[in-house]
Amino acid sequence: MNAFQAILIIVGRGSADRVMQIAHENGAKGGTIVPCRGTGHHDSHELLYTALDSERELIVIVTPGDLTKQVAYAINEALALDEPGNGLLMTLELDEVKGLLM
Amino acid sequence: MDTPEIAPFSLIAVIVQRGIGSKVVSFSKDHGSSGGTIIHAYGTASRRWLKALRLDNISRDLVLMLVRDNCEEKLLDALSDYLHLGDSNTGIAFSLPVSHVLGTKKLSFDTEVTCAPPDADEAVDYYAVFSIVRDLDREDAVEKIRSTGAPGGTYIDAFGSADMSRLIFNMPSFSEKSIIVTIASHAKAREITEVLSRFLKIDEPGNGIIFAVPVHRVRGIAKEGELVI
Amino acid sequence: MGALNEKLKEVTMAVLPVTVLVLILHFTALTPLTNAELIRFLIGAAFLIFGLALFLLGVDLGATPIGKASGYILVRTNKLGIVLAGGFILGLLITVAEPDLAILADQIALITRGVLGRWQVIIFVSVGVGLLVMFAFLRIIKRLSLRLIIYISYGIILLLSIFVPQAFHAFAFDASGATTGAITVPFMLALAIGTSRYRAHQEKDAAASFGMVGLASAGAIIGLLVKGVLSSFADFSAEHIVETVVGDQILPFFWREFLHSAYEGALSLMPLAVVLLIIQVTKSRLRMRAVIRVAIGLAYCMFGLVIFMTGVKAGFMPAGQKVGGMLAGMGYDWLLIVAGFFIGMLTILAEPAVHVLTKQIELETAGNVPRRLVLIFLSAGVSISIVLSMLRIMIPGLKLWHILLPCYVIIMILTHFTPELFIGIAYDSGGVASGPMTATFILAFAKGAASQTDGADVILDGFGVIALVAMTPLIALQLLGLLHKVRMRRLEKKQLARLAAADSEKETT
Repeated sequence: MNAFQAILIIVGRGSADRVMQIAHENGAKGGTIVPCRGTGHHDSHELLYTALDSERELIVIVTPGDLTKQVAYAINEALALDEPGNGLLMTLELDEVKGLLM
Repeated sequence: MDTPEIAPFSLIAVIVQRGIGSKVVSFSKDHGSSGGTIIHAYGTASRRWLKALRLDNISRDLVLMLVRDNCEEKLLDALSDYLHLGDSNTGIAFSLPVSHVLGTKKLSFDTEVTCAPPDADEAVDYYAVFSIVRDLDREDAVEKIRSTGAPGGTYIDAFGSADMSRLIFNMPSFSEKSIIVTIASHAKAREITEVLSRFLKIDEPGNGIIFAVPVHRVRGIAKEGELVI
Repeated sequence: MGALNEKLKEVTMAVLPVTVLVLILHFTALTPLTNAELIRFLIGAAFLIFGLALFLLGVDLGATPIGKASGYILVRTNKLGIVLAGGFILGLLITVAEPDLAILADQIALITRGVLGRWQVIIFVSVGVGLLVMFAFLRIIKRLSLRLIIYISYGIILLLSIFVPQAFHAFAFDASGATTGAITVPFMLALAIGTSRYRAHQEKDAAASFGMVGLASAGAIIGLLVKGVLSSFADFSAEHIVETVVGDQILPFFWREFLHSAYEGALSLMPLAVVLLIIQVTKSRLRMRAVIRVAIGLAYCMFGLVIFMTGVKAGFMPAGQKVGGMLAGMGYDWLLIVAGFFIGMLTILAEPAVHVLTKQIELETAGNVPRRLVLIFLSAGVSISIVLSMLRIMIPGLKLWHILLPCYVIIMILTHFTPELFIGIAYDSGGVASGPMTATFILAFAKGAASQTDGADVILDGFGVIALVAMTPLIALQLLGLLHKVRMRRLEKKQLARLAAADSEKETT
């Protein structure tokens, strides 16, 4: 267990704002949003042999260890990530962290 | 943290030429991945004359895939063969250990792919350094990273968190950010974070954040310490 | 070669098809070109590839950042008045300097015997564009429906066009093609993206980022129609514009076209340089490093455009005219139609703004609307418009409005059902399709065909081509939107069903 974690959340386009809000309410100081596209396993659907990927947003939030669990679970609950198809959340253990505002 | 869901997962990141991303995802689906997320990224060439002519940004796809730990090595090796990662200028693939995962219900892993557990842990001394900087600082930041002898990096366009105190037409404003991803040895990673945090005055609010994640396995580094991308 | 290499690859794939098509026509002896023509055409193709690659690189480095920055800076003032005024001024400024509009204005002045003066045309069209760009800004900020604004603007167009002489319709629709030039389109696309950026994270799709170019085209039509209603005409004189005789010269011809294109290129880039200067005197000025990057980008844009236009005018345009004339002269109607179909389909791939638009669509929708699909539908649309143009040349009784009116009725009906994102994409591609390649190569082909057909009017039939090329993409891309909607809906259903099945399975075990 390191001192800091990065929480990565992948949700459908338009939900990033909500994720950031929940994270903020639970003590996270900031985050970064990356527009991206996702392709699932059986979701491959095509139009004229061209794949149509769905639009997603990847959100990166760095939190100190004592906050990670709270933020992660709050987001999990608020966006109902346990419900199928709503998104995905993972945490990475960080070694060096600079610039995180406390 | 006593979380019940200790995930036997790894996050695999692949950086390839723009347009290949979808192929990487569909290839990986046959090798234990459940799907992937593709991000538009840009490589930064280091040749001086390319920089002078502003021809140094090369379009890339950054692919992120969550896989079960026991498939990780097999997938990386398969990708390495498929994408010829050993050759120069093809790409790079690396894996990061994931500590927890929530919301995996939607992931359906192909049960027919059986993965043998990896033989032995590779002793990899690489770190993935993620520098989230203001878009304006990006070029300087890449220069600084290069000054340590690291190969520069791949960057993606992103948005900084909402500034609730400043509303634009009743909406919180987002600032333009860049995330620079650099793979470097442990010592170099430390040097990069030091140099960058000094240069960016990182402890002042709004100037960015830098973090390093130990890389589990990596493919596409030709010689010791030299990245081909 | 880094980024340039990347662009060269992309562009070669776009320019080769039409080049090969003309070569096939040449070598199968259907339309043999003279040696000088063939050499000019091949040099032209090389100019096209290199020029287009350089231009697109410049758009990425220069035009797009300026457009995004100006939109973003305006929005950040948080004052609606400033945003709207800024939109009006930007739309006006970029249109006034558009070289294609100047050429069109000259032609109109000539044909109407000076009833419509050159500057009157330019000013009315520019004000029209400015006003509609302003509405595009208003729509982004007030979240108005694009559908509604389009219905209103096309309603106005329909109303106005009742009160002007028939031949005037072709001018008006041609003006929409002329104002959406190679530089204007990338700038406006970026402007819309920069303006809507501030609320990108609350939106389910990128609908707010598209539609500005389409509205600007409508603005040009409205501007000219208003001028037409205010003026009274005696008669149009279809004086033939004197074509310069080219002969067998190669290098002098290229040189002359180069000088001409250099002047036009510099003129059309002027507004962007002015905007950059304005940005630099405001509080939100860019850093020196960014300014240098943008300036280099603008230089690439200009040189690229100049090289491209030289290649088009000196190499492609004469070849197009020759091919069109020879095909029409053979007396087989079907041959002209088939050739027109393929020329339309392949030429559009080499249109500069098409590359910019399809790339922006792919970036803004994160790949949900793939570039390939947009290109397929755009190609199909344009090829049909050339077929219609050929029919018009062959059948003297077929008037432009006989085609435009029913098609626009279909377009308006489609607009009712198309998702907002695709409405924006469709109307934008209408403006994009009628770019410099269409205005030169395809137009030359049509004029060549008209000159060899009895009963066809070279000038008036020529004018209609642009109107048709700007129209058919609206149908094609909205159809793509409907297909896309159906597909995505089916996918959602399938996904839910699969997940539900997986869930019940888990519960039983």
